[in-house]
Amino acid sequence: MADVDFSEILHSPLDDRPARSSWWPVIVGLVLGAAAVLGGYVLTASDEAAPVTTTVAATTPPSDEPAGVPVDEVAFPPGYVPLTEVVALAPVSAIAVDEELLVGVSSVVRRGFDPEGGLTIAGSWVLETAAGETITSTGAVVDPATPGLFSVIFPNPGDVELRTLRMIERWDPDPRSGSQTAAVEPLPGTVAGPVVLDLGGGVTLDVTDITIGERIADLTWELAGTTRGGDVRVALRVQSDGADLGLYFPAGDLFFTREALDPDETAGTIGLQRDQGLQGDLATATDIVIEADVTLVVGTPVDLEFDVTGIEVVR
Amino acid sequence: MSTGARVVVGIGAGVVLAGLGLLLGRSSAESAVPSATDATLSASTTMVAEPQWAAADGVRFLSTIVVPVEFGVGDGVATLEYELTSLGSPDGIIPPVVPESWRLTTVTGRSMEATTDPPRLPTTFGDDTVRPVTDSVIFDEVGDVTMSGVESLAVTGWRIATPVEVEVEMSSTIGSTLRLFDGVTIELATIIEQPSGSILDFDVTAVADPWHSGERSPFGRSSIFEGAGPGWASAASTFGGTGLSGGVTGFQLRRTGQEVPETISIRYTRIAWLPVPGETVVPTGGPDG
Repeated sequence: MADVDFSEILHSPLDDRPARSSWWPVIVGLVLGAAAVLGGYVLTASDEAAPVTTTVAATTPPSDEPAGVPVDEVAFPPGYVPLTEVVALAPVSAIAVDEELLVGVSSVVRRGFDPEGGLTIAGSWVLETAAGETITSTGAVVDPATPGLFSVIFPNPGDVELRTLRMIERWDPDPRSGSQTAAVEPLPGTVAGPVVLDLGGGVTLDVTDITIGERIADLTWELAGTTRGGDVRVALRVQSDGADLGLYFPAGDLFFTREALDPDETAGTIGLQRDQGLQGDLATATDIVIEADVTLVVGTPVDLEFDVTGIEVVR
Repeated sequence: MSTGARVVVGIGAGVVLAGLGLLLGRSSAESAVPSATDATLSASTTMVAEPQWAAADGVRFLSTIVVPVEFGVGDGVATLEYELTSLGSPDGIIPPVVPESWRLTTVTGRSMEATTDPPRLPTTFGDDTVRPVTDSVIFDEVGDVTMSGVESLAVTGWRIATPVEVEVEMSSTIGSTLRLFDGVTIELATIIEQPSGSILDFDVTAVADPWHSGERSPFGRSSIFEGAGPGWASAASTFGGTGLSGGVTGFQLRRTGQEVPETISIRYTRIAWLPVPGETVVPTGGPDG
């Protein structure tokens, strides 16, 4: 499997390896020659006296085809199907859990892939079984700790053999952001809203039912002006005549949040918790500022087909 | 000069130099014990696991490259230190494909197996320290095998980090327990009612498996629990140990409003390290790999 130009893929420790010396045959020969003499001597000496312990360290003689990763003209490793010029995919694992079948898809990226603003590897998939049954995916799971592997979720077809996996639509992120200030009465309390954030291009994030307490806050959001949803992240600032009294940010496991874009998610509820370092008196509040980062899903039809007959489903 | 010719030249030079060294050494040893009629040359040294290659290329399996760093044999132990690099993304923390099972074969045909746990996370997270992950495999029963006695070293089995997300239902009665698909057990410990909602605290009993998100796993935060469906405002986990080294020992879900339904839905996501076979020979050669 070592047959790809990895220098064309992401920067790796291989890039930093020192250049090979053309003198290795001589060096290896020196070692072999010395080893032969020393070995013969030790054998002779061992007949004369004991004990003798050797420390001769030998290296494997080199071959004309050095081990490692040779270079060729292939853009991606074998088995990986290009999705874009810089990303290729290959299904590699599968596990059935209760009502779900999750197919693990490995990705490789070439140099130039931008993990921040680039492709979010998700989308719509179709799984075909050996019996001819066709199953459409219901979602995907991406883990930020292992971005080179994500799972596509299907309804569990039971004990069947897998035949073909097809990606029929890829989802690209369309990041937007917006901010809006609204006047409020002294808090804690509820702000009915809506507070409307302009995300550009006619898309708005309408925030309603904003409940603000001393330690936590809740709000309801809905996207308008778009047929596709996505990922919505909101922070809330409580102010008194422009001075911050409290900052509320999303609760939960921020660092290891695991999710994939969901084009059907156009409304929801978000819980926020207050930053303990900013504990102003909410009774003096005059305004709130809602800030949002929204990633909309842009769907693009694709047709990638993978043979998955060799993948064993862990049950 | 061809490669073969250079090897021959090297061998010749090595023979000459080693022979000269032995002559000088024997002369010196004999002169040191001039009166001993039964004088012998005794060389007793300790076998040290010397690095045999410090800059060898790597081998690939799926999206992971294994780069040997050091290989040493001594005192009955063979140790390979290696680096793992993922082609999956430039900002990945953990390679999603990692070796688990290894086999060392000697020139006499003897084979021995060894296994490795999940690789440890790097201790810092700067751009230059996230990759590659360094790990090692140890064969502790090689006996008197030396470097020249090692025929080959190969990875025979791998683990693939496959994210799994499931939704489960359980009773909201205090003390209710639920065993999840991977053996993890959760128990609803308390429900605290507050003016703005209810807080549900759960205890988590992990699985003692290094490839699971248990206490001994470096992937302590690979298990995430969240409320599924409407009404859940937030979720947070508690951890044993410190930082990234601790496993999930509990979690807390907060609902908006006072009412907690009789049956609650929980979304459970984690990394399932699925085993897959795949033999990949790791180079144990000289300076050129």
